[in-house]
Amino acid sequence: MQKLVSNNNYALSTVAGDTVLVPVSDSVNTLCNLFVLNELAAFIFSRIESGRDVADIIADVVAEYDVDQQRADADVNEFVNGLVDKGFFHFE
Amino acid sequence: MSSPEVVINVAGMVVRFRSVCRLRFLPVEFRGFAVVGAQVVDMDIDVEVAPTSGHDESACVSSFVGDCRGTEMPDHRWETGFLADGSEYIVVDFYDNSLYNWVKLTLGQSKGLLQLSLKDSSVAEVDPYIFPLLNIMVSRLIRRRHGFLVHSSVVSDNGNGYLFTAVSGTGKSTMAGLWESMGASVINDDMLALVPCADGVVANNIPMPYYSSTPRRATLKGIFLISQSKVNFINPMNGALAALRFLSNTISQPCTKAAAVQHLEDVSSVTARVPVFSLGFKPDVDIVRDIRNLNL
Repeated sequence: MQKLVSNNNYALSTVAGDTVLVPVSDSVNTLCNLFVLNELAAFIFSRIESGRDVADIIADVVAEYDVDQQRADADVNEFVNGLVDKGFFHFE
Repeated sequence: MSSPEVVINVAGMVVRFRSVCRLRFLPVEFRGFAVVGAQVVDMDIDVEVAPTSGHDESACVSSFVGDCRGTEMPDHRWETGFLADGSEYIVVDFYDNSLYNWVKLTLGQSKGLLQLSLKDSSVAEVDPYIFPLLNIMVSRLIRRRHGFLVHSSVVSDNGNGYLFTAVSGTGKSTMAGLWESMGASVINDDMLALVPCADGVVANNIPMPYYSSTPRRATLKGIFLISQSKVNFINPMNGALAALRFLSNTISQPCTKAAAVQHLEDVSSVTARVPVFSLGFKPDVDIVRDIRNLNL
């Protein structure tokens, strides 16, 4: 199974109670938007950072929220793929 | 008469540039920000200035780069970041400058070194204002006080400072002009240095490359994120949305996680102290009356 690995090009901060993903850049040309994580996104992100793999995170979401496996699978994978597309993580 | 040193006061910071060689500074007013004729006792930074032939790039541990070649400005590339000993540096490489190949400013806590690579080693007098070096220097120094630069216009109206920000072309200068026509004074209509102080958040003008001014400041009573509109509206904004919308118009060089987080926290701190509004306006003085009626 592919492992999700951080590119170490972001920082997390809290603004007015919201979790914000702040990109770290070395150039004006590579500056990109920062992102506000909603509750579910912050939940998933914290588990990514703690080393949980995608299958385990999906199980965590099912256990924590009132959603079925299929819905959790879709939400988690959409979020994870978004993080990869934005360049914050990659698969090994 | 040229001088071996020049002292400037920008955004409340006093910086002395002092030649440690034969170079002398032209008797320019540093675009109006020079401290003239007074004894300077407390300096924030004392910068030695000397010509040089090379700089050690290997000492840089993190950097942020801006490349201005092919823009409307004279071609140059700038880099800023941290050295291994924790001091900060700024390097500007010029591709369209008659005087300099490059310049490098290193900033410690209270001391600095400005190295000038001159195209003609026989040059004896230089203008101490070097664009964009000084503006980047200001951004680094005010960051130490949790301040930051922001693309904006700021006006002072009966002691109340109002900041207007948006992307270029939206109407920051138009808004400043409307306020000026109604008796307010314009602090600047392009870029301001915001520095939090004990009694509020102060907006300061900074030296600009193409004209002279005098140091001006205003304590902010409101921040307005402006847009063009057929009808005027002013809607309060709160929390993360206010901070992040405002942040998008600030100047940041987030080359490290710490720098990225600090900038976000500094901006959030300002928006927690100064009310933020979303504002749409049509270009007439009604908007001035509408803002005055807020009684901020």
